[in-house]
Amino acid sequence: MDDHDLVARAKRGDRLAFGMLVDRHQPMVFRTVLRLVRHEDDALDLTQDAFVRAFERLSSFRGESSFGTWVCRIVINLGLNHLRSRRPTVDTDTLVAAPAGASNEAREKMIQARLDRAVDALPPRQRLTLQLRVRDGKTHEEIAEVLQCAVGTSKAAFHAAVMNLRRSLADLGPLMEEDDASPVV
Amino acid sequence: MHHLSSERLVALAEGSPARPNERAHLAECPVCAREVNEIAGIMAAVGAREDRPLPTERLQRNAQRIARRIEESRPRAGKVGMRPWATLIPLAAAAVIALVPRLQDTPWQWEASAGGTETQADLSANEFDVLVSGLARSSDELGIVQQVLDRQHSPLREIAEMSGAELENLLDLMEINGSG
Repeated sequence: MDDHDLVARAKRGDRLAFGMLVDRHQPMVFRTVLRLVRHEDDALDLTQDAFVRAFERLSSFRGESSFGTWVCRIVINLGLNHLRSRRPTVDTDTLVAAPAGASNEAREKMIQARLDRAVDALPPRQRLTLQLRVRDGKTHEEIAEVLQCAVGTSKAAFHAAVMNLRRSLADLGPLMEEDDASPVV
Repeated sequence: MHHLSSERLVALAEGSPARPNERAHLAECPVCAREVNEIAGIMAAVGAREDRPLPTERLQRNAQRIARRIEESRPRAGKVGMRPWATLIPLAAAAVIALVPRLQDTPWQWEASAGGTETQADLSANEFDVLVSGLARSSDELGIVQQVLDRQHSPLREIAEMSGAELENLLDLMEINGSG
């Protein structure tokens, strides 16, 4: 049974159908909000809240986007509200390079940690835009739909994210060999 | 030589096709070419990061909690953020559109015709009188119905200008009397 049928049944009060939608979309919704808030417990709570809110407001869902995209929008809004009440926890000044002479493995781990922390330090919308684009391979049009913004805004957020990362990681030099990066030019 | 903007460098690094002048510039400018590669390297490194494995057991428990919470919740009617009465507008519009054309050609005559013979106009007015009386359960309601239907000239505009209370009252009356 596809989402459309399940949504139709859920709209008629079929909670079992809604449960199937939860099973189907919870991993993606959870992962999205986890990238935003970075704390697993918070992400689980927000995922719960998002699905409950989706159920309560199901009558307003008209199928103009997919059900998954709709719930993602809800959870992103909840996540952004959640973050507004919290202070940033990542201090990029404490990020240091590996000492000279460190082994390749140590350097790789250090780069990975630096990268993770630099991504975590990005403003939430930039972080999410970057991850949706680079890790999920979404187009700017798709990102704009999820984040409820203009395509240009998605591109600007992506550009800002990449530039911020570049500044944060400038002392590391190129992160990948040119052949690995394979830019399309 | 003008270097490429950072917006274009990022766009090229994420795979946008290079314009002919950009391609020529990149062939000649090692600074821009290196920047594109660096940016592409950052993007590739971010893309190569592995997501933490999903906490499947916790997600299953979460799904159970969601199920419990929706058992206790009640779906809301209407569109999110909409005023509740706004959903009534199409119904009210349909009702007035159905009523207004026949009323516009009819002079209002609330009294019965003399001699017991009724003209077509009188019949229409009487029909309307019956309709209004039937819709209204009290003098207050009669006032509401008449207020709405007296706005004959531009019903849609008038409906748009009606207050929520007016719409709700009208639709309430129509629903009760089976006119909705």
